[in-house]
Amino acid sequence: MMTQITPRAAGALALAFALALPTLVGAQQNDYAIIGGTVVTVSGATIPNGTVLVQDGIITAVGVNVTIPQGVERFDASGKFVYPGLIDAGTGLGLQEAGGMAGAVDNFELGPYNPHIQAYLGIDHTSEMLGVQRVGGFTTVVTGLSGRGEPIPGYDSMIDLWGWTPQAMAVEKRIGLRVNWSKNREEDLRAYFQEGKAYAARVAMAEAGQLSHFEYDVRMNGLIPVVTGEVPVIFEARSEEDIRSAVAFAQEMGLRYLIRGAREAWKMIDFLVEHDVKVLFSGIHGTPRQDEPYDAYFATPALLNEAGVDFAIYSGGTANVFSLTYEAGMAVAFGLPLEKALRALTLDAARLLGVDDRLGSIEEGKVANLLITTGNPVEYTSQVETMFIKGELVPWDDKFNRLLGRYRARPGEIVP
Amino acid sequence: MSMIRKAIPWTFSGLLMALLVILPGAAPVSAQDLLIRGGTVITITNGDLPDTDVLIRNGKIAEIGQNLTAPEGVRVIDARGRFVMPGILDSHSHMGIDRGLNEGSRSVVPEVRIADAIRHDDPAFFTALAGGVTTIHTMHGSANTIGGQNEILKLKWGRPWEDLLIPDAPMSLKLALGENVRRSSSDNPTRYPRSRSGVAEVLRESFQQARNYMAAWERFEADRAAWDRANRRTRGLAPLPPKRDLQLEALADVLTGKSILRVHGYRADEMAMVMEVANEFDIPPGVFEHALDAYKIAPEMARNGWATSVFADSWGYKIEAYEAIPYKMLIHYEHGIRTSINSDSAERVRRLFQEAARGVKYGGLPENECLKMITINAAMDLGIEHRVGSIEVGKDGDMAIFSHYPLHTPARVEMTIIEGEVFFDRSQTHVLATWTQEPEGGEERP
Amino acid sequence: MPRPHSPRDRWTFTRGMLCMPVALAILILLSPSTLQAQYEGRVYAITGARLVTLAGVVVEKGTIVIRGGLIESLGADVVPPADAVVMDGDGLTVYPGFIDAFSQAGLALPGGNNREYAGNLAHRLASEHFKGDSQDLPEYRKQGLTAALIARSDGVFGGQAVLMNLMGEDVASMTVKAPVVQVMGYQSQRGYPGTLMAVVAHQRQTLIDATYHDMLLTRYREAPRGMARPPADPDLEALLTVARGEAPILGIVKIENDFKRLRSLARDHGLQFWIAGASEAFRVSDLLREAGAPVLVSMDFPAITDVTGYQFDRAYKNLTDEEKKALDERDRKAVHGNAAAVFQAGVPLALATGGMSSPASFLKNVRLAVEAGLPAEEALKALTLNPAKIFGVADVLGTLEPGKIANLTVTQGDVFTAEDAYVAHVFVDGRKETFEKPRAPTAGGGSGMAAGSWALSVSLGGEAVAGTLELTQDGEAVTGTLSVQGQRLDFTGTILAGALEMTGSIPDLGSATLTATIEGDRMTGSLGLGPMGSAALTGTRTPGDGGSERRAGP
Repeated sequence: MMTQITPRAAGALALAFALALPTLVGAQQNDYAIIGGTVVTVSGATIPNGTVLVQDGIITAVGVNVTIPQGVERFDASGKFVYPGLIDAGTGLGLQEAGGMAGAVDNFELGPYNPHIQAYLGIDHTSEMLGVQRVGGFTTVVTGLSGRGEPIPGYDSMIDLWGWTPQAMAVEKRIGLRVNWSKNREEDLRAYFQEGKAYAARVAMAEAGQLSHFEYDVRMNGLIPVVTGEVPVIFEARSEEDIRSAVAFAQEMGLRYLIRGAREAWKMIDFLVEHDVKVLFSGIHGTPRQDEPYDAYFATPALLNEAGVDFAIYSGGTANVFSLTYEAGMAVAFGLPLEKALRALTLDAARLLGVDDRLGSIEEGKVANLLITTGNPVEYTSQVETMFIKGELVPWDDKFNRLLGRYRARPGEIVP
Repeated sequence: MSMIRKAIPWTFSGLLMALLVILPGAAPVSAQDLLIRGGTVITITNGDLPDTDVLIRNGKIAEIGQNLTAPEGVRVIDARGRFVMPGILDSHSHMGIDRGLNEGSRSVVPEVRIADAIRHDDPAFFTALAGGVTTIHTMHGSANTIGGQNEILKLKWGRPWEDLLIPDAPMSLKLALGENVRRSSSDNPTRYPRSRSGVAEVLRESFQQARNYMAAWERFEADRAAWDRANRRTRGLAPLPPKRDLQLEALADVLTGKSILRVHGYRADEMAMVMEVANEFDIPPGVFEHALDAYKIAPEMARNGWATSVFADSWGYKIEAYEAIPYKMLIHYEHGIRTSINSDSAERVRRLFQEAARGVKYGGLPENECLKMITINAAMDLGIEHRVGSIEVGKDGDMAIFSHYPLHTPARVEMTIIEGEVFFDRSQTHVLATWTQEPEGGEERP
Repeated sequence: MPRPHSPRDRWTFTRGMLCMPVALAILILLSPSTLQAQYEGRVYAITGARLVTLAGVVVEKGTIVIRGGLIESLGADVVPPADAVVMDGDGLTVYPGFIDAFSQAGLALPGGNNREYAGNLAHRLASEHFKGDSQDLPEYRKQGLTAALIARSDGVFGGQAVLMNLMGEDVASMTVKAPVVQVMGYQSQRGYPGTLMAVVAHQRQTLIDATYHDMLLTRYREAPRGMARPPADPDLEALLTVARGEAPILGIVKIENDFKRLRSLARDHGLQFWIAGASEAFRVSDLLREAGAPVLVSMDFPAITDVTGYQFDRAYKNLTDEEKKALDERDRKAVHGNAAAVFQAGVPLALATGGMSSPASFLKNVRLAVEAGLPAEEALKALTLNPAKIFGVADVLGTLEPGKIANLTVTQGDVFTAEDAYVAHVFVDGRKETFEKPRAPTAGGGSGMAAGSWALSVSLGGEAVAGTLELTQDGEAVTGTLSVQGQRLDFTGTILAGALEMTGSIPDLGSATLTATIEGDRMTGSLGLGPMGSAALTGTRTPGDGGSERRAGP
C-alpha cells in the first residue's frame, strides 16, 4: 500500500506555473478550474470526474459539463478528491505561542464582562501556530479568548488560515459571544443581559432621534448583536446541570445560542432533542470515569447523530488543531458515519455558526476554500496535497514544511 | 558478588514451549489456549495473511495457517472479517506507579526501581487494553539527569502484580535532558545541574564513577582469586571487597550494555551531547524519548545506531517542542532510524493505532512500517522482540483483534488477548450505546 | 553519745535520740517494699467476677487480688486480704490486660517544619518521644488497652519499638521492655527518599551498608593493625542483628503489594520479619502462611475503594445497583474479615490500633472482626497471650497468673460480641482507672421527639388559655401550626436535644417565637409574641400520637 512520498512537488510546480501565468495570458491569479477529480460537495451528491470552476475567489460552477473560460488555468486532480476546506469551530489559535510564554499570551482579559472584545484583534496572524494547521486540511477556524474563568471573555472570531492581515483573514469578526456559563452565575448574567437589552433599546431610541442626550458605551455596544438576536451566544457548559440551565436562560432571554463543550451530552440526549439544542462538541478523546462506559466520549457524536441533534466538532486547541480529524475519525470507529464526521467539520459547522452561505460545501456562489486530497480528510491515512483559500493557491510554506524541506535535504558531514 | 546477571533461564522454558509448539495437540488444555479463526493476520514481519488462523497453546503462538484444527477443549474465537495484529506495545508510559513516579530530591538516582512501586490495579490499564495495548514500559519521570530503572508490564488486568512481569526482560535506565531537569533544579536552586553543559558533566562524572567502581571490583576479584590459591599458612586475612553500591551498580549495567539507556530529550544539541558521552564511555546506543528534533541530526542518529520513541504529531506545548514536525517519521524512516510511537499518557495509550496512522498521512510511509512503530520497534526498544511484537510461531500469544485494518478510520478494538487469555472483550464491557451501528465497512458476521 | 547535762543539752539529746527512730522510720518507709506499697497505694480485690485467665480454665466466679503492681492471687476460693479495697465483681469479666500490638499512643513527634528526618534512626527508641501524660492515653485505656508496642510509623528505619504500659508516673517506670524490635516503614521523607521506590532503594542500600559495616567491624576487631578504622555508626550498628538475620525487623505494610515488597526484600537480604498493619492480609493469606511471620493486624479498616483490586470487578462494567451493592457487601466483609484470614493462615496473630486516626472505635472494630469470622477466643488471645509471646514478655504479661504484672481489663458484658458491652475498669501496674458506662445516643433530637398533637395551655394576661399545637418532624426540622382562640399561626424550627425552637409570623405584628423543652410527652416553654411580650406555655402530647409518628400538617 505505497503512496506518493512527494505530495508537495505537485503543488510547488503548480504554484510556479501559476505565478508565471499572469504574464502569459492576463487572467486573474485566483481563477482556476480543478478538473478530473472526485468532487465531494458535501451539500449534495459526489461528482466523479467533476470540475470546479473558481473565479475571483468564488466557486462559479460545479459539475460534469462545465465550460471553462478562455485562459483559466486547469488544475489536474485526476485520481484525487476535491473537498471543501475543513472548519474547526473552536480553538485558541493565534492567542498564545508555544509553551505559553507570558509575553505572547492573549487568551484572557481582565474583568468579568468583556463583550466588546473581538478575538481577531488579538491574534498574531503571522504566528507559526496558524500556518501549520493547514497540513491537516483546515482552511478556517473559530478562535477566541477562553478567559481564565471570567463569565464573558469576548467574541469568538472566524478566520481563514491565510491572509496578509487579520482583517483580511477575518471571515466573521463576531461569530459568537463566548460565555463561560455555570448555574451559579445565572443571577448576575441575567442582570447583565437585561442591562444589555435596555441599552440596545436606548441605542435604537437615540438613533431614531428620540433622546436628547446619549453616549455610546463601547462595552455595552458589544452586547447589542446578541441581545438583538443577530449573533449567537456560545455558552461554554459541560455538566448536565450547566447545560440545562444555560438552555433555560437562553430561552428566557430570547437569545440565539450554541452550547459549547457539552461534555455530559451523552447523559441528556432527550433534553437536547426536546429543546433543539445546537451543540459544539469537543473532547472526543476525553477519558471517562470508571463507572461510565469506556467509550462514552468516543461514541457521543454517534449518539447525537442518531438522535438527530444538530452538532459540530471542535478541538479547543492552540497547537494541535490539525489533529482534530483524528478525533473525528475516532467517532467514526464508534458509530458516527464517515460522511457525517466530515459534515461536522464542514457544512454542519458552517451552518451552526451562520456562515453556510459562504462556506462548508462546494456549491456555486460559495467561497473557494478547497482541498485536493488522496481521500476523505477525516480518514487517518489520507493526505492533503493542495489547498485553496478564497481561491488562492496556498503555498506549503508553514513551519512544518519548511523544516521538512531543510532537513530532508541536509548534505554532508556526520559528527559525532 | 558478581554483577553478571544470571543466565537467562528462558532458554529452558523456550525449549519447553518449542516442544509444545511441535506437538500442539499433545499438551493438556490450559486457560492460555486459544484458536483465533479466519481473520486477516497482520504478522508485521511476514506480511498480512488473509483468512488465516492462529493457534495459541500455553500462552505461546503454536501455529499460524489456514483451516487449522482446533484441539479439543480449546476456545475458538471467530475473527472472520476482522484483523488480528500483535498486541500493541507502549514504549513510554507512567501508568501503574504507586506513590511517586519521580524521585526529584537528587539529580542522580539510578538505584531507584519502578519495579518496587507498582500498583497493578490502575484502571487506566483497562482502557489501554481497550485500545489494543498488551505491554507497557512504565518509566521513571523526567526531572532528573539520571533517573531510575524502568519496568515492563503485561497488562493482565485482574491478576496479582507478579503475573504482570516479564521474567528476565532487560533493564533500562531513564535519563533526562533539557527543561524538565533544569526546571527541577531551579525550584531547588542548590540542586546541580542548572545548565545544559552542567548536565553533560553530571553524566560524565556518573559514568566515570561507575567505571571506577567496576575497576575496584575487578581488582578485588583478582586479589581474592590470588588469595584463594595462596598458601593457607602464609596468606593472611582475605582481602575485603569494596562496598556494594546500588547506584553505581545500575550505572555499571549501562556501561556493560545490560541496561538500555532511555534518554528523554527534545533538542538536537542535547541528543548529540549524549551520543558524544556514550561514545566516550563505549555505551551501546539506546533510545531517545520524544526526540522531537532528532530529524535534524538524522544522519548522526543513524550512524550511531540510536533509536527514537516519539509522539506522532504533538508539538508546541513547550518551547522544546516548537520545532517538532509530524513529518519526522518520514525522515527517520529514510535514514533507517528505528522509531516507535509512544503515548507518555494514560489517555493517548488508548489510541496508539491511530497515532501510528499519522505515519501515512504525514510522510507516506508504507502502512506496515507504521504498524511496526507500535509493535516490533517498541519491542526492540525494550529488548523483548524475541517474545513479542509480531505474530510468529514461538512468540507470546499477545494480540489485538480489530474491526478493520488498524490504520483505517473505522477501526476499533474488539478483543485484546495476552498469552492466550482474553483480557478485553468489547461485547462484555460497558459501552455507551450498544445500538451504535457497526463501523462502516465491517463485513457481516454470520 | 554523752549524757546530757543541761536542759538545752537534754533537748539536744532528746532531739538526737528522736532522730534515730525517725531516721529508722524514714528508712523503713523508703525501703523497696514499702516504696512499692506507697507507689501502688492500694491493694485491690475483685470478688465474684468471671476470671478469664488464659492459663487453664476460666473461673466463673472468683476473686483476684493485686498488690504492689503485681497479681498476688486469684481463684474461686481466694479470700480478699484485710487491707484490700474490695470491688464487687458481679457481672464483670476480668481479662489479662489488653495489649495494643502496634501503636502510636502517647507519641509526640515534632511535626510541620520541625519534622524529623526518619530515614535511618535505627539506634533510637520510640520511647524518646513517648509522653506518659499524653492526652490520648485515656482513650486507649478506655478500649481496655493496658500496654502497647510503641513504634514510630513515620520513618523508614525510624528506630526501635518499645513495650510501654499505658498508665504511670514517667516513661522510665512505664517501660516494660525496650527495645523490643527494629521497625521498618515505607514512609516518604522530606528530601530523599521521597517516593516509594526510593524508600525501597534506601532500605536495600542501608541493609547492604549494615552488612558491610559488620564485616569491617569484625575485621577491625580481629586485626586492627594496618587497617583504616571504620567510622562509628550507631544506626548501622543497631541494624547488625537484623542484617545478619538473627533478629527480626517489624515491617509496616498497608496494601497487598507492600507485603510483597517486604517479602522480596527479606528474601534478598536474608531477613527475618514480623508484619504490622497488614490491612490487606486477606488478599495474600497463602503467602502469609508460607512466610510464617507474626502479623500485628491493625483494626483500621480501609475504605473498600482504597483496597487493591477494587476496580477489577467494577471498572467499565455495566453493573446494576444490586450488583454494586452485593460487591460492596462482599468487599466490606473481606475487610472486616482480615484478622480472621490471618488467623486461618496459621500464623501468630495480634491486634493493634496502629494506623487508626483514633482508638475510639478499636473494640467496635474488633467486634466486627469477630462477626466476620475471627473466633472470639482468638481475638482475646490476639490481645493478650499472643502479643506477650511475640514480644518475649510472656513470663510477666498476657495471662492472669500470680506474680505477673497487674495489668487487667475488666469488662461489663462481652466486648467481643455485644454492642453494649464496655470496659468498666483497667488496671495498669496495679493502678486502677474506672470508666463510666458510655452514654447511649441522646433521645433528644432523635426523630419523633416533637411530632404529634399537643394540647397547650398558654398564660395570656394572667389567664390560662387552651390551644393546640400540631407538629411534624423530619430529622431535626420541625414544622407546625398553633391554634389559639381562633388564631392560627404557622411555625418552623428545629429540635435539638429536647430543646424546641420555632419561629413564625403574626400578620401585621411581626415575628413570633415558640421555645420549649420536651421531656417525654410534656412540653414547657414560652410563646414570644413580639411587642406584646411573651406568654408561658405548657403542653401535653395527646396519647396515641407516639413520638415516633410523623404526621402531615392539619
